[in-house]
Amino acid sequence: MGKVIGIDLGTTNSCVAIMSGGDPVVIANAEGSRTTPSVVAITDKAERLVGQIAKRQAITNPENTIYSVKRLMGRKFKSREVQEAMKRLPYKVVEADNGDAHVELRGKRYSPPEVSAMILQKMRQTAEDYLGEKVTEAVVTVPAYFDDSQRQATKDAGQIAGLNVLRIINEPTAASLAYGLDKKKDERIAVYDLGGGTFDVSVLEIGEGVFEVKSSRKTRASI
Amino acid sequence: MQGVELTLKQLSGTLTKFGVQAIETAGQEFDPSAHQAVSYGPSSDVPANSVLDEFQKGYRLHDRILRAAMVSVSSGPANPSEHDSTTH
Repeated sequence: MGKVIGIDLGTTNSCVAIMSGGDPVVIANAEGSRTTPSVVAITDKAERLVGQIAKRQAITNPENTIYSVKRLMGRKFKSREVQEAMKRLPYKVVEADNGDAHVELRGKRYSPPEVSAMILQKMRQTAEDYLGEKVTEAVVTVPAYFDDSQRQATKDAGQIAGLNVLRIINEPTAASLAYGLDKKKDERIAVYDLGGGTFDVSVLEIGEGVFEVKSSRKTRASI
Repeated sequence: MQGVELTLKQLSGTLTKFGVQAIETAGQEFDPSAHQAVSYGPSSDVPANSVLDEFQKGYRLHDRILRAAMVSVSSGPANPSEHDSTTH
């Protein structure tokens, strides 16, 4: 079995890491950065840009530069969250036949998983360049408050990117594990995640190595 | 003043020796692989999608971008009919 990569598919930035000798190692991308902006754009020359390069041209091409697509993942067009997000997003959000929120770039429609897949593909490529071997399996994190359709959309994005998503893990749980909390006594903890796009707070109960999310909420951290 | 100029020349020379080059922006077409657009607006003399002004120098190390140049990009003339200097 090849190496399994871990991907933090964030609202504003994404990150990929692997386990190397029992320790997690964050992998730098082709531009030399340990995080990659979760931005996808299509230029007027029909060129697809992902990551930092897409972010650099964002203000010259606002209607065809997608950012914060995570806010639309697994959501219906008519939902309150999408309708609210649309007021601030410069790109076109449309309703698909099945009621899902899709985006429209240069006349072509994309589902949020398709856009997220482009970001995951770049994260996958970053790992493959570092490891010098093909990567087909990954673990992807999602917010603890993500519902079933949002988690499924994330799995779909992985699949479109050619990745077999072994597990979808909650972000605060991943943070707690990384911090080594599973080795300490049973306790109740709060995880504050001040991210680029949202500020999330979760309360977890750890008992006998089992992490249970008691509550999780989010609020906007930036526009 | 001459001393400052000589120091600058020495510094630039050393950087070049190690393969560090400043990124060209003046009169260039906006290229997101080397430029970061921080402003986008009309200009009567700079063509659309070309660099207007440079705010911060960018540098290349051999073939890699060390830091993108911070630029403003032209969106073309504000209102083509306003300029009777245009020939078409």
